[in-house]
Amino acid sequence: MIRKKRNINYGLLFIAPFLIGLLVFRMIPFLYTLVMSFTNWNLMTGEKSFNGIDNYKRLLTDKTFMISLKNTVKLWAMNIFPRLAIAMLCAVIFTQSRIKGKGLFKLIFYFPNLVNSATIAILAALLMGWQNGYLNRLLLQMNLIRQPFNWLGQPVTAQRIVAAIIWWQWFGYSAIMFATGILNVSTEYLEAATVDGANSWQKFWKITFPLIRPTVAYVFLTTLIGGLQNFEIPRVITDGLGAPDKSLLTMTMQMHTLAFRSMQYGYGSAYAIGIFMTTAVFAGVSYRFINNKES
Amino acid sequence: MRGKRIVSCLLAGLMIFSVTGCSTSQNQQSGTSGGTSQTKETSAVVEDDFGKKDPASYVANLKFMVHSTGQPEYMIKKFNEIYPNINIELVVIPSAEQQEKIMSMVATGEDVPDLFTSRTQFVKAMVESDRYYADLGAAPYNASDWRAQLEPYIVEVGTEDATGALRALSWQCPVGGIYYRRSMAKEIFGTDDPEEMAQIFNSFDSLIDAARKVKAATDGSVFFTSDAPQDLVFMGVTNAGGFMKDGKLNIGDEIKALFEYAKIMYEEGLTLGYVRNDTATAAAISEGKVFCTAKPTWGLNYNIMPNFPEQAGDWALTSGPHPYTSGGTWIGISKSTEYPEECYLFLKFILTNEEFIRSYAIDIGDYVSNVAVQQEIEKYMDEAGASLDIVRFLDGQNPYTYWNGELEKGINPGAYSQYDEYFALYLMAALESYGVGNSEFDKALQQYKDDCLSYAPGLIVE
Repeated sequence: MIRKKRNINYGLLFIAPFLIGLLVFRMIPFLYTLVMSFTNWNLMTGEKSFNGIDNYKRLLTDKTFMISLKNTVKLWAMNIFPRLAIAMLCAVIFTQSRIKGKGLFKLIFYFPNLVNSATIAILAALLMGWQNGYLNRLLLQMNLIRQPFNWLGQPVTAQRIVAAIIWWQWFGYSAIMFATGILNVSTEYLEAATVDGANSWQKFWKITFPLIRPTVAYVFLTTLIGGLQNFEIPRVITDGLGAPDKSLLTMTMQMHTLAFRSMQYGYGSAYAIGIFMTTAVFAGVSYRFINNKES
Repeated sequence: MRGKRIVSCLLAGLMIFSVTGCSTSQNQQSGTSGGTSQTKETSAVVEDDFGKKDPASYVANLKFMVHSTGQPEYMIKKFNEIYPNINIELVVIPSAEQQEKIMSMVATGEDVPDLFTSRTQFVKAMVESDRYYADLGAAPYNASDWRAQLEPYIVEVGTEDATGALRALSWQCPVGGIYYRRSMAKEIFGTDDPEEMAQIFNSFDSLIDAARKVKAATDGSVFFTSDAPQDLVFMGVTNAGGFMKDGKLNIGDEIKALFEYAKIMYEEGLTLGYVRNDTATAAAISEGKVFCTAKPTWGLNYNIMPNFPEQAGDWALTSGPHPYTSGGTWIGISKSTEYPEECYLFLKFILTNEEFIRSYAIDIGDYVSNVAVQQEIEKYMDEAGASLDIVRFLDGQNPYTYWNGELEKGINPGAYSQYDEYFALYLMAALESYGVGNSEFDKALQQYKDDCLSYAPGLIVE
């Protein structure tokens, strides 16, 4: 009994640093933000008093919030499914095939994840420029287009370009996570399936995929949470305000403008809580869906 | 076993240190630590010898918050030649974060700098409040006589509208113009003379015609400008009376007209289409794809000259449809500084010491706000001619002659508001949206209004 108590104490000791960090750098700021969200604190005017749920009422009727929510979900949805599909394909190739140089491919696929997002966005803006962009110049030279196309000036193409950039930046990371999960699947199951006459696709879909479901769930949820806080690429690639036509305005971008440019700390805090609630709802629904499937 | 416990505890302790090392950075570069942590307002002690003691007798460590170092470093170096014992530490904050940083520092009362600059985009926000800058016209400063030495519009922008308190001043005047490529102008318009070009650009309609001519003459390989929305906002809003007029969001006819000009520029392919993308614009200018760009004074020294040295001698400066200003930096004394006298001396030095201002204008190439020195430098540049880099870059043109001339036409100080920074961005976005065809005019204008209202909730919008 005494040994069990000592073991519990040591367990607490080991997780204490994480808990302290979580409390100090996450929970306390979150609670402070929550408190601020019930005030009209505006650093520009100096106002700072309790205003109840006025900020939340404003949030629910704020057209820009709805636009930013729609854009954030859209950008996430456009990149998540291709990303997971291609990452899974790469992971299967990394683990199941006999291709030489797999290590090199892993490195190359992971490399975009190491590059600063703002740098990627600036490069993309140069490539996709309307009259002088390198992509248009190439397409014009190849006679594939007659006039330069304004890739980042049309909402439809601008959103797809941003989604594609995020996909390119993160699919390598997802592939490595999936590959790790696949490697943990016991080979006995696969051998038994081979003996029973299963082909590659059947082995993957009936054995490997169900067994790596926790990994898929983890990648999906972390991608969801990260995707709903999308900021750097849409912020830098055009004018920083979501151009063209606010199609790239994400929730985090708008919160940043309200809180740190317009100095509306109170309303910006409400916005941040709104982002948190949105993320929590999406994550909760996804988690429940995945768990139901599992059971 | 005991050894394992010791190792485990050490590892846990190391983790604590690594987690605490992940605290958010202040994003602040500072030479030495410490600064002023004041919460009380400076007492208005009136001394007969305020600012008049032996220069070497002043001893202080001042904290000066800026968004760029070039000009302040020069100022401090020259200041210390006279006041060697007033140490001024520069604290550099990225320009986009400066307003928020200052406001939060003043709100908390922690580490408030003794002196700090405000960019044009938010200077009115600082000046119109009594929480940030001290009143230079009141005791102990009593510096009202400085008003007469500086450009009137500079003084008026730095003056609080409600009370008339003089809170901030600028050592520079960011007068605007159009910088164009001489070689292209000769080829397309048959002249590169700035006065003749000014006639070609003397209205927005003639500007559009000129843009069409550039496209036709170069078969579309050269564009009149890289960033039509920015140029239109720079050149058009000052004349329209600014973003705010009579306490309301300005959406008068001059502002609405900018939408139509943007439409033409985009539809007829007269602009490269970059919006606030300096990197892409610089690349295009390097490649000879851009005929001109609307920029104020700082555009020459901080943008064109350093980025395109190989094009020296091929640029000129002329006026657009209306005189305008854009950008610029104001400076004031923090209301809670513990060193009012030393701060006053620094401000007095950079704003009224003509010997310093002269050398600053020549060495840095900036257009100063001190009226007497403006005229002197114009004469000096006429005499020095191409021996000066700035004159050589403009192929012998004296930029001070141009800038002095533009100021004589009159700059409207009422064209500044505390919302300028973001209202300009929102207007550029609306112009682009309408110009590209993503929105109809009513929708684009409504979006501009909604954005401004979201940014400034108490705004009156008609």
